[in-house]
Amino acid sequence: MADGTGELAIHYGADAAAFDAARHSAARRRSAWPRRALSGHVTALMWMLRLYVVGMLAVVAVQLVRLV
Amino acid sequence: MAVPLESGTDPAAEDVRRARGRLAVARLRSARGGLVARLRVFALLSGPGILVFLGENDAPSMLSYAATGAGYGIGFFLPFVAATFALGFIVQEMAARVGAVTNHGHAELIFDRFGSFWGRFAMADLLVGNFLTLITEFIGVRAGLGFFGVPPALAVGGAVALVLSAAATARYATWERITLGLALCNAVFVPVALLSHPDWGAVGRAMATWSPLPGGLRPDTLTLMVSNIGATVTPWMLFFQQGAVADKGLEARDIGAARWDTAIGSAIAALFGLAAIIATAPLFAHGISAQNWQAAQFAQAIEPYVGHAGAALFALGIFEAGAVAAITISTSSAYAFAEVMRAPHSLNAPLREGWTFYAVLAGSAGLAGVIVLAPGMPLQEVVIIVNVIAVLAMPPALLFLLLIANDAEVMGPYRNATGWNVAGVGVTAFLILVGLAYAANVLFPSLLGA
Repeated sequence: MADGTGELAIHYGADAAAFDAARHSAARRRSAWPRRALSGHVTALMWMLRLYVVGMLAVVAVQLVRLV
Repeated sequence: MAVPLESGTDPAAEDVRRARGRLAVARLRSARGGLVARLRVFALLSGPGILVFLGENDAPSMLSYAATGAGYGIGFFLPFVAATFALGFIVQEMAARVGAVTNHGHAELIFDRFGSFWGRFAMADLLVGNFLTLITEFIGVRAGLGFFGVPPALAVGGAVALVLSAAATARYATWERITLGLALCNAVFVPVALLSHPDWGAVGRAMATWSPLPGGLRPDTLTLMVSNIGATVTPWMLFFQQGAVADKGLEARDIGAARWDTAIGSAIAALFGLAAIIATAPLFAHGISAQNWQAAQFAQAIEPYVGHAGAALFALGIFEAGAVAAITISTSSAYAFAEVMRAPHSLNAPLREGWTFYAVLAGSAGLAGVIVLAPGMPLQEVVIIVNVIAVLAMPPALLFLLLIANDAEVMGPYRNATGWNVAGVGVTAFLILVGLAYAANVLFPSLLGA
């Protein structure tokens, strides 16, 4: 409790169960999912998505030019 | 399997606050009780699904439904709009499920699983689209309260203050209840619809037969269909619901409740959307053109058919729709930005800990409010660009959601079932086609003879 979390628990009126639940929440929140190894299909999909994004930006640019 | 991002699991203030809610749920679940106890558990677990759909019944959406009623009356668009909410449910259920299983927001998961480029793209795309949408919400707020003679600065300033004061509670549960209370005022469109004395037989026939569609399938009808789809399925909804589910601390065992929450949200939002169409249908019956109308004009035009009280409720509804959407949309921006920046991203975080999160929330709402009040701003052009971006930005966000919802490593036994995948892929393909058709219409207007 030297890290101040005990003080925090007292401040929020948390009992032991609440503190365990808070630790569980902290553990879930502080985790990250490792980067996915993309299959050939998903890699192809990502390239199609890149093309879509370029097209999307072009459409927005055309619309902006027309409005200006 | 998720790996620890930081050493240790010492809880922060947001974890302690979140734990209180989880403990309340656990205590109710462990106590023996029948239907009442289960309903109480559901009351504690529900919120994000109802909020996301009522938030999406925003000012531009309600005006789009009003324009639909005025332009086409009671007919094809009633079942069409109801069907768009069914599409919305399929998409939002996935977002809620992913949030409950992973406890991570949409932008954060894209960043983790597909790399920083796509994570930053998703966040930037959302921030730009959301900011422009916020401007349209404050236009709705100004127009709605303008019916009552409220000065624009007071109307917009009040709405910005509402956004800030809800967030300043620094308690997710309190924020959710305040916003939910406001959002349920979207129901005011129902009495307006009843006051218009609709022909219920015509409503029933329209729902059963998807007709009539006056004038047939014209280019402007297609534009209105795209507008109605954009009024129900938009990128911010994914980011908001997944972020809110994670912020609330829902877990895999809560997926059933989250699914009901989403289903109830889509059903009542559909009801209120249909009510807006029915409320303005008398304008169609009397041949009154309502092209490019704002909230106050609709309210004034329907006054002879629904009375002053009905017109006032309509204007109030547009104000409410804009104000609630301003809260939910600015919150979704804050979730996405802080997630990608690896900063605390919770409405449970005290201001000093979550200052990045709150700065984005307050900054986007405040700046959008200022732009609406600034003289000479091209607000009509902003509305057009919002529609373009909203339709075009949906497919990438949806594609990532589908990939994550099918990711066995992340979702385990909760990944999409075959039936849900068919529906999810169908919705995604449909929205990509709609986006491409809309883009083609923008680039080559003569294609559709517009």
